[in-house]
Amino acid sequence: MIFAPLVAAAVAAFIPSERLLRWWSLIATLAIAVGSVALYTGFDLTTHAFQFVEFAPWIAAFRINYALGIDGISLLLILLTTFIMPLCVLASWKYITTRVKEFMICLLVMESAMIGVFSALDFVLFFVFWEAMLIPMTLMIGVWGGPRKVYAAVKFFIYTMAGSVFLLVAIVALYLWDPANQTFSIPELMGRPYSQSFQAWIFAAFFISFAIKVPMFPFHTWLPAAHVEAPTAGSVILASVLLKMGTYGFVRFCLPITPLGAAYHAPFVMWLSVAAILYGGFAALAQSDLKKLVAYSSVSHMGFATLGIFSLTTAGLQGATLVMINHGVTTGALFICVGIIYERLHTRDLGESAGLGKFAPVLAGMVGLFCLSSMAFPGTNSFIGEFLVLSGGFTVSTLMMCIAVPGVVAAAAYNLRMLQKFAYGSTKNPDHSGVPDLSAREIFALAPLVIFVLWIGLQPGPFVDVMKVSVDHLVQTTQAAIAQAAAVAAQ
Amino acid sequence: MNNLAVMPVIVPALAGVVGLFWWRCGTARRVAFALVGLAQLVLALVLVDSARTHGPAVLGVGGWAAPYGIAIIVDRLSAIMLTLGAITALASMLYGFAQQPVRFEHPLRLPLVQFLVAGISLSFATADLFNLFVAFEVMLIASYALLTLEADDRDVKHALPYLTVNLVGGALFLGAAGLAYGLFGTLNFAGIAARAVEMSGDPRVMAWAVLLLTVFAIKAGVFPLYYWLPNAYPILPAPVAALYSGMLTKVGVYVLLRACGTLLPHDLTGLHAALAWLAGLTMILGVLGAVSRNFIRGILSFHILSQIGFMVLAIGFFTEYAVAAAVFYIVHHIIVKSSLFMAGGVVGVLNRSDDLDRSANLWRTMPVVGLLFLLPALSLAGLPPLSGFWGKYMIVVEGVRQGQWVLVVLSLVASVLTLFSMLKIWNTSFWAEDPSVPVRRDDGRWRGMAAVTGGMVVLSLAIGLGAAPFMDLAFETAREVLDQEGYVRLVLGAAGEAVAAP
Repeated sequence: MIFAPLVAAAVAAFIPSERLLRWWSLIATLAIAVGSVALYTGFDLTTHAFQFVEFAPWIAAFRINYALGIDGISLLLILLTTFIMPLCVLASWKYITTRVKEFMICLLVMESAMIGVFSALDFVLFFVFWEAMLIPMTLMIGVWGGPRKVYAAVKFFIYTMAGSVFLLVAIVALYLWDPANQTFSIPELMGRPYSQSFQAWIFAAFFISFAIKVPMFPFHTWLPAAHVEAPTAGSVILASVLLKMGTYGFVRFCLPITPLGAAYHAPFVMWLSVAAILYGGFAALAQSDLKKLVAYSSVSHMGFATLGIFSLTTAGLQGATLVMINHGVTTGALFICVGIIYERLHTRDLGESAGLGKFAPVLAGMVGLFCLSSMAFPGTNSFIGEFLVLSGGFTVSTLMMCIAVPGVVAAAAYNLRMLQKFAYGSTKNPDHSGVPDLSAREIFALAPLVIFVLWIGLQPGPFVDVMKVSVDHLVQTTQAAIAQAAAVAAQ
Repeated sequence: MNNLAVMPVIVPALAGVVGLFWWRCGTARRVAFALVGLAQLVLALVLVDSARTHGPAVLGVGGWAAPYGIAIIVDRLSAIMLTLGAITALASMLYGFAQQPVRFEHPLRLPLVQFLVAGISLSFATADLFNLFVAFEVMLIASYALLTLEADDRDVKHALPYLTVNLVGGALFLGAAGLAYGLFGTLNFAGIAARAVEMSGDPRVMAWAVLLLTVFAIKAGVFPLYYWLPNAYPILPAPVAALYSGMLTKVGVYVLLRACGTLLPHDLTGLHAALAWLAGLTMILGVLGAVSRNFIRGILSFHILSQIGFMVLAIGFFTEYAVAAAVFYIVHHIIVKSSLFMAGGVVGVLNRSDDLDRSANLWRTMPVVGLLFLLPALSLAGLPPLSGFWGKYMIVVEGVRQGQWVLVVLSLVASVLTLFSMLKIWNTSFWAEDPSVPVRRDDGRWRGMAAVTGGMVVLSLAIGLGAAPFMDLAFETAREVLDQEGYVRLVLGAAGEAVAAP
């Protein structure tokens, strides 16, 4: 599964024609997406244990192994990745005209690395995938990006690299913790009786690394730059999958490995999340560049995800996982829409694109649906996720939630502002009457996302069921560890 | 098999002498030298294999047994270093052939390279302090001659500090050797090791150790003794620079490792700590120097220092694990650093300058060259799973284990800054688009140069992706280097055991 995209990339390197290359990438990513459904159908919903485990020794001298396996949470994220990739290929069909081969290879290599990150059960392997993903993404921004691409690419690279340095130190410290049984196995490192202060430090190191990736306020400054300069497919991958790696890191490592550290830092992280929700929301309201608007809305949405995770409740965590998936679907879709608008008008300015909806009703309809989804309108996917997060959050702190709620209002405001200008704005200046509506290819790229928006919104059952056992187990073990530490402290 | 041990010195020395008489440059001469290079590589690989299967090859030159005769010993560490030397020398020769048409070739360049290789090989193979001094002098003469061979008047000025500092180092070395003879009555490594362990705690031994390590630190370019390096290297032509950057300072690192592991008593913890801290400073100051430079060879030259810091830091931590890290790091570094200098040379040919202000457009026109630079650059910065990551990783592990948080943080900061300075080259030479900068694709020389660079890059990828066997070798080597008693027994036999006994 991990190597399928790599193989496809290797084949792509020998395909001479650009046309053929696009079709090959599409077919390969579609095949991988279809193949990944087998993970879903073969997945045992009744256990929280890791499934589809693969194991082989890699570097025996360091006890580093090639270990893979997935649980409910990673399964959802892998499916998100494999389903988003063909859409990325479609979204760059006409947008990318130079160096098509290199671009498609970048996409496929990145897919390998992303699936690897979500399924690695060995810390070093995880780190390798984590870093491996950086290079194609940086190239994607730096080569096919907008006018300030080099600045954005370098900023993205240095930021993430600086974050992963902390990750590395944390990994090494965990490895050395028990000299008698040194291991990089992620399942084995969970639930060890680390001391409170050790956990607090490890958590802090994890936190910096993952918070940069999410990105949480105040580590978010690389994101708008990267989004604005990246090509459509780059923005979609960045929003849909890459940002999830940060929250996935919180869920996979911070909670089970350092539950006490998480509990200790949780109020602080939750306040940062609330700040991100508000800041992202109001910053989005102030943007006139469509991509920047969507980028800042990402900061706000991811704030909900981290808020849910660190409420340390079942509802919060389930909500956070759903927010991760939903954000992937909705924001990915919005970035594709913005890309489509840019291809037609060669501008992303909200004012310049005003009134386009009158001549492109199908596009306007799509944008409308995704905007509703982005503001968490009931019946769309985001509603259920944010609702769960807020209900989880209320059990922790009413005050915090009261402060966060204006963020929801801001989401409605910036989405409606965008929709209103775009769909109903004045068409006198400039004249959009010659702009074509969506082509079949574009409809094909957006239709699956429409289906997911409505499916998750109206019938979230199948999605919740997949992760339910894993999330329940995670919350139980985390709470048990915290309760046990509290009992020890009370004695 | 034991007689083979001296061949890595004799073959290049003979080739050099023949080259002096075979004055006319031509294709046949080039082929002959390339074959000699290849023979050295095969020889070195045979020695690695033999050291692994039969143990170290020991040779008393002229049939004189140690401690009276000169001993040549090729154990795993020496054999690895000889192999790396042979690879770099061969690659740099082939690269030079591609870069320079035969009619412009200076007739002295190839013989001098061979003399230099002979000196380098001797310093790896010798087991005698005075012999090591000889090796250093041979290296110095050859390297100084190469440095000034094709330099203009302005550049010769930069070669002077190189000569001066190294001559001072040589004089100090002679002093250290004399002191050793006075203290221990022998210059043989094994003899010194046996006595020094007995005399451990004697302040004279400590003073001698400081003097010796100072000499070796000058050779390696450790802070504050590195001034001579970053200005001297950029004046070299690219192929020779690749050889220098790969091997010369690494001779210093090798002798530091040999001195700490084999020669000196292992309980000089203060000295090891001092070495580690100096290494930390070297790391940071080197990389800051790199960030401040504005032409590719200059940036890379400062990086040598920074990377030396990593290796010496590992030596300073001084455990088996750390020594293995140092060995692995040396292997990785020599290959990667040489390939970077070579890639820089390709840029110089294509843009007609490696000054970052006059270099651009390469990624758009030549993505292959871009990859040849990008991969080793990322490896140097320590991105997994490239070769640079594993060495850094081991150093961080050892640092955390010993609780040396400041040094760990310094090494991580140095890594990020390394990345930053590499991106500086990448952004201007490769990504920047400037219509006024020409890309001379029509100059066919770049093909051969890029091919040789590509070979080195593939090698470094192999070290990174297939790290396991290299790591095993590094650990075996570390165990052997730290086994002082075994070394003494090997060289001096039963007599040595009597000497070593308390």
